[in-house]
Amino acid sequence: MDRDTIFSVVKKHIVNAVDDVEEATIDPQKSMADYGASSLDIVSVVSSSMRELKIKIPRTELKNVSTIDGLVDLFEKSAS
Amino acid sequence: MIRLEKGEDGIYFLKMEDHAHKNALDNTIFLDQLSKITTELKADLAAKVVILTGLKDVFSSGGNIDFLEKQLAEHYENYIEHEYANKMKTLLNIPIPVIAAMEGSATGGGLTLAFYTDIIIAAEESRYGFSFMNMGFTPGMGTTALAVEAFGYYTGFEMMATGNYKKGRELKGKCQFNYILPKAEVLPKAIDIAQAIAEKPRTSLELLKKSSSIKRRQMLEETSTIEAFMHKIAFSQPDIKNIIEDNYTG
Repeated sequence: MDRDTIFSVVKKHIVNAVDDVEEATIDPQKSMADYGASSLDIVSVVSSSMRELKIKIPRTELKNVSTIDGLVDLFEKSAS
Repeated sequence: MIRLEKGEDGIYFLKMEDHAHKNALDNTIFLDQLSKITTELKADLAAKVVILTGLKDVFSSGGNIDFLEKQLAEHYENYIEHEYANKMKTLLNIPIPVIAAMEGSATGGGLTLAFYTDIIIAAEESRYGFSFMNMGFTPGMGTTALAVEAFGYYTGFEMMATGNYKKGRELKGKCQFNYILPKAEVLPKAIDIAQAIAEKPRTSLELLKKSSSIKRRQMLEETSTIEAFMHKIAFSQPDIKNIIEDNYTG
């Protein structure tokens, strides 16, 4: 699975879960919290994305992720 | 961590303020404190109504990781029932009406905690859901019955089985909550309702509360017994501690 596909999936779920965010404005160098996501919004984005990408990563590994780009990195490694 | 604050005209506030642990529920500390406060409210005849509040962002995050992974999992290796479910039931013994003002999100046992009150006000922006099954074990604390009471069978089952956290606004028309409002309006609404309740005689409030909770107490007696059996089996699954650790979101 290529990185662009993974980023598209993550962006889609950010837009679904977080209020007032437009897909085109999402900067991967930022964190979801920068866009006003609560911790449970982030849990929802991660869960929905992993479900769609058919990957499973323990929450303990996800705790160290600080940016959207970092999340895409982790998903990319897990999907390969 | 949780404290009772006396307001004006018999309106009391039960405040959960554990920022460090997002108001996580703990058997020995949190639930014991609730029991003591319940006893205090029984004796204090000036109290007319209680407003249960959490933090602005988190009402309660449910059982803490240590409690779930160590205390519960290890307890069920040797015992059938755990007392924590019965401690939650002491909330029904608060003799006067309790309003849950859930400005923040509530998950797992933290959401179930609100179901032990008499009036629920939730926030449109906050998320609510049951995390039990995400961590591999069946819901406890009376959730299997109270969720159906709060959401109806179908939505209640979906929320328990999926473990999805829904925003308050998504729950409009799908639950028995009294109000789902913008977060900033949750507490003012609770106070507004409390003022109307506080005008009534304490004796009549006690009578109404006691009689209205009969069915719920009967239901919980049955439910907590079945849930204990379910936990005995669910916590015996191989690798359950790792499943909890891998999926605990706090």
